Amino acid sequence: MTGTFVTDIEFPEQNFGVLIRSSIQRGRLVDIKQPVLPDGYFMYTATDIPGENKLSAMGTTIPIFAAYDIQYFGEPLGIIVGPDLDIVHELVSEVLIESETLEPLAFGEKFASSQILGKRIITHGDPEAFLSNSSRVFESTSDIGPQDHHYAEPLGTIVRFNKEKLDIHTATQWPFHVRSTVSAVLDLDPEEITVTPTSLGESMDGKLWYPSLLSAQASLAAVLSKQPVKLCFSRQEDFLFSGKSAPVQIRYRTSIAEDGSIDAMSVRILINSGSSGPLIDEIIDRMAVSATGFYAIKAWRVEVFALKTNLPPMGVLLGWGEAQTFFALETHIAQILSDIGASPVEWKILNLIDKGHLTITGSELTENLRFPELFNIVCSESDFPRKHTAYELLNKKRTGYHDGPLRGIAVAIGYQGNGFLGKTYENSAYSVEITIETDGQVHIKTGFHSSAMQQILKKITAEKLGIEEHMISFTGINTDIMSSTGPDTLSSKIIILAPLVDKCCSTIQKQRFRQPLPITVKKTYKSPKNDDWNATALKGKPFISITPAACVIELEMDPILYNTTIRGIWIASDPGKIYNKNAAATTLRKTIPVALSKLLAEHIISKEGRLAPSDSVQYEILSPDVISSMSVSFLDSDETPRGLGSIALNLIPAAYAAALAQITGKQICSIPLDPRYIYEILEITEKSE
Amino acid sequence: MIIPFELNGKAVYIDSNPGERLVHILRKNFKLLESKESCLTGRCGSCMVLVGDNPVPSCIVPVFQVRNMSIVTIEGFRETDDYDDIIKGFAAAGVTMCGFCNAGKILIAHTILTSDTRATKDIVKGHFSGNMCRCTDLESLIEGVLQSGNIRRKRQNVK
Repeated sequence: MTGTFVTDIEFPEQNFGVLIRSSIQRGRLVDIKQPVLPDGYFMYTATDIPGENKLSAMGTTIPIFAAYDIQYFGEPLGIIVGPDLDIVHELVSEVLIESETLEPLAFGEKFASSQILGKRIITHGDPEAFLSNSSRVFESTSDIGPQDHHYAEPLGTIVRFNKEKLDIHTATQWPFHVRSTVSAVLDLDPEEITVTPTSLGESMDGKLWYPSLLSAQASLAAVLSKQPVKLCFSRQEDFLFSGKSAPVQIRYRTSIAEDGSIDAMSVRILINSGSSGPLIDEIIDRMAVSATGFYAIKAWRVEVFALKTNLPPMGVLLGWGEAQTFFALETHIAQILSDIGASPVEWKILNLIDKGHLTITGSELTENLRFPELFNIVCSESDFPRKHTAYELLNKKRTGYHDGPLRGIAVAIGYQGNGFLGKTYENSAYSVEITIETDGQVHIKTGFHSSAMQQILKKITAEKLGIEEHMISFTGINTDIMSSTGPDTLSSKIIILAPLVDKCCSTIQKQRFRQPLPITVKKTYKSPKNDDWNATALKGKPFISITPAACVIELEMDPILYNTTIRGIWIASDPGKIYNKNAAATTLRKTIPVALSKLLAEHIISKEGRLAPSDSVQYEILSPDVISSMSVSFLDSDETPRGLGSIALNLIPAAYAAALAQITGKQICSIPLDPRYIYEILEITEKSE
Repeated sequence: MIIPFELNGKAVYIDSNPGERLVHILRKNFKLLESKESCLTGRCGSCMVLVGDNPVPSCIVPVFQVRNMSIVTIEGFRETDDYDDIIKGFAAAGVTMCGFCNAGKILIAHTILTSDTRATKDIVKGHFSGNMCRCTDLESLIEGVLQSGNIRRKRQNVK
């Protein structure tokens, strides 16, 4: 049941590495004074790098070690390696860093053009004409803070020379990026490098590019010291210096016509990318295409700016920005509907696009989104129409917050985009090879590694071949053997690998009792000939598929202490063909506490460039046992399987905030929902009443 | 300081700094790598061991505290029938674990079942509040423990 984790691997005569980090937020590095190093201990900095001192990922580069410009507090400046980890830590603390300090770059509405790391603007029609002439314009601004991935094992890597090759073991979602980065940094042929991904656990998309940086740093030290190097972060180091989900500010301005339809929507998204934003191109594009959801709008303008600041490089969390835009969009829509007195479900059904309509990227929807069916499920299970009306009346008639009961219920809709075609997808190739041996054992060879996906593939294989899961194993998972792939995220893989495994098993079943064992079948994914997809102009169909979903949340607030309890969560989605209903339900259910934790508990702020809380133990995580009741439903479908991993993150925060808004009468538009913030809203409202 | 204790049924001793974390000793000195080192604050549950019969996060236990005590790690627990009950129960409920949190989830399940093989859902739920790994959902985990209880009762012929 257990795989190999990077912290479990040891090589003979290995050295431990510890990074030397900057102690200022922004400035210039003048000098690094090396302490007296005992025999067997070595220090390396940017000047020791034989190749390129940079990591590149989807449009942005970051230095392996800062050579001159210091861009954030804690930026790696060098590494000390040696056989005793405690002594290495002591030596690192003795390094003297001389630097000049500069004023840090700020994040906000006003920014210099030099701060723009990337931008995307999509327009259709003339939204400003509607917005300036309409008497019903609604505006809201959402602030969503940075959040930690909080994966089980902190980041780490271990590197050695093995049979004339550089042998790297690291928990990565993107082994070929590790290989290409190390190759460029050390000026080595990629064929001289083998990357073996170790067990990931639940990475929450936090192990996409950072393992490449760590591996490059450790590989440099391993090559120069001619000894294996293990570089593993402590939980504290991981919390303070690894990439977080990028903080964003999203402003919506919407004009509503007399008949309740949306005339125009103007969206401005500012992403705080930190010192550099690996993956930022894809985040920008995914936020842009999800900014208007599936609402029918006559004219729109969406502008997304990724801004450079002096925080650590900010990246993605599950959802790649969709979670943030759906939160801002759905809370904005909820506020509009409350103000105009419209029924959320009826209004949404009337104002959603469906088959035959054009999306924000100009592609025609070729299939029904089935939102009415999804609404039907969550509404009937939660008794939404009756409760919503009743709570609306109760809350309006209430004389104060102490005049309970304080209840709210809200519905949010959205989707999960699967297999974003973006700019990088064209380089991705996926194949599956399955062998059934003479003893009935089955070996699956893929380029994939996450345990969650392995479980799904195992279940499909076991079901299709009629064997026990323990007879199935995964083989040959390293970059020498697997086909070159892009970053590994659960949503992009389920839509590709599950059908490939299914096809392999079907072929094996056809041959199984006609041919002698062993039988090996290989199937390769062919990327869709998406002639109408233009990644540069963001025109066409941006995803291989999407998973539509609807979510209802009901809350009750204690009128004395203002504590909020969840009375129920109901989620329905259309994940296409389901191979294993339990596994699908588990995938969705396990992310519900994560979404609530991100919304209610996980709070990080930046104080002069340093992340606070300064101690990882103070980073609060919501315990999953706070949820008393949740219901997960799926529509029956024979369509290709679709991802479910970020549905809860995309929908729950918006539904929760809208339900809270129904209780308080105030739009809730910030994540995380700081209790002090809620208290202030309630106290201000109470006083004004 | 010489510290003797029983580890997975065998008498052992170490010569160590008394303040050293137990999880370090288990991993470094005894190569028992399935007690994982993560938060070092006792809240994630990945380093869980049984000290006596109690589940304890070994990252917050200074090794001197286990002097003359009995410790069972997940490697040792795997040799018991009780472990099989839990694995079968978890499998029946569709519980899949990432491998990093196995010690916490399995040993907590064992503790619940040792106390009461008919534990209610609420009791089971409360026990897992200290297990922060996000690789499985609580509902499946609760079902897994209930199923394990059924299996253990059958094995022990308890009606």
